[in-house]
Amino acid sequence: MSLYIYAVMDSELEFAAPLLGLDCSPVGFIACGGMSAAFSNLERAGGRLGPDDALVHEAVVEKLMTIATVLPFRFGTLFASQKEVLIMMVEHVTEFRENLARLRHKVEFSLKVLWPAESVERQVVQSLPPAKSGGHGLSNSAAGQYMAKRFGAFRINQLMETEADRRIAEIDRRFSRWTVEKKLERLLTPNLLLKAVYLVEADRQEEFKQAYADMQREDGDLRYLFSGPWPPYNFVRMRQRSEPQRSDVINKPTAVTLL
Amino acid sequence: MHNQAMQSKDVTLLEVLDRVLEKGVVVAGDAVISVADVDLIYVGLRVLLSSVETMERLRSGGGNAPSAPGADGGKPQT
Repeated sequence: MSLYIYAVMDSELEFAAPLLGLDCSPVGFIACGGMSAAFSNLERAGGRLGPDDALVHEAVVEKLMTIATVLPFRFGTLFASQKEVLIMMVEHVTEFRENLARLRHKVEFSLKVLWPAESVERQVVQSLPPAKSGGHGLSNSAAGQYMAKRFGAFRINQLMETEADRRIAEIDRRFSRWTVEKKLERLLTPNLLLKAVYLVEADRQEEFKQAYADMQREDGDLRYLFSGPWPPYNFVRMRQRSEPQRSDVINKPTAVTLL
Repeated sequence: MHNQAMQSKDVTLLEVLDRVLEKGVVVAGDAVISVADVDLIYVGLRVLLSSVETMERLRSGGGNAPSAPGADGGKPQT
């Protein structure tokens, strides 16, 4: 049997109503230094975890969010015993306290923005001045033509990135007023213009949602996937990543099956 | 309606996986959880790409219902 960890909380309070975790096992709490780790026992042949378990993990963390500030643990974190959990908490107590103080009363929102990359590229190409024969200064040899082609592709790519930056800045500006921290990733795939996560004060989330609603109402060629409030998964900062020192620490399930 | 509900559930799952698999507290050595010997980072990427594909599918379907979390600011309803 292992202990499955959901989160560390800034409270030694326990959830008032019975809270069920993986395999409908009751969630328990291990207190340490004004914090507590939420766990449930996991006894499963093969230790396999799947998508439904991920949803349970998330549901438990979200319920804990209603009574305390939480540091959500990554899905699939297992320990061998309560003693090992306590050792882990003592080892990371400073980091946990720093994170809990920084993330108190804050929630995370996610925004993914798709743009029609092909159509934008066509517009970019049309905006380029017509190429003059030999105007690129390269010879008409095969090598010269190859280099001209490469340069053309580079130029288009450069203009696409400039356009992406412009649009992202425009989107991000709408949310900056309500944002405490953010992480923006540009063009992870050709169509995924922006993958953003925002950390927002819990009592400002309605304004943040309204900013999104206003943006969504406007006409345009962008499509959005907006979700939240989430526990602040993306804003936990862990500096220390010590290797397990004890052979009885279980830090990975035997397998996670997905999709 | 059923299709929309299923799509919405898929989006919710993908959004959850996007978080719980890649983010959050990692302790005791940052275990690499493997899926049939495939590194978790790859799985995370797959989830991301699946999210994008889901969005594209929804877009081509003409509806933005799954983006409905935005409508009320909440998460996709399952």
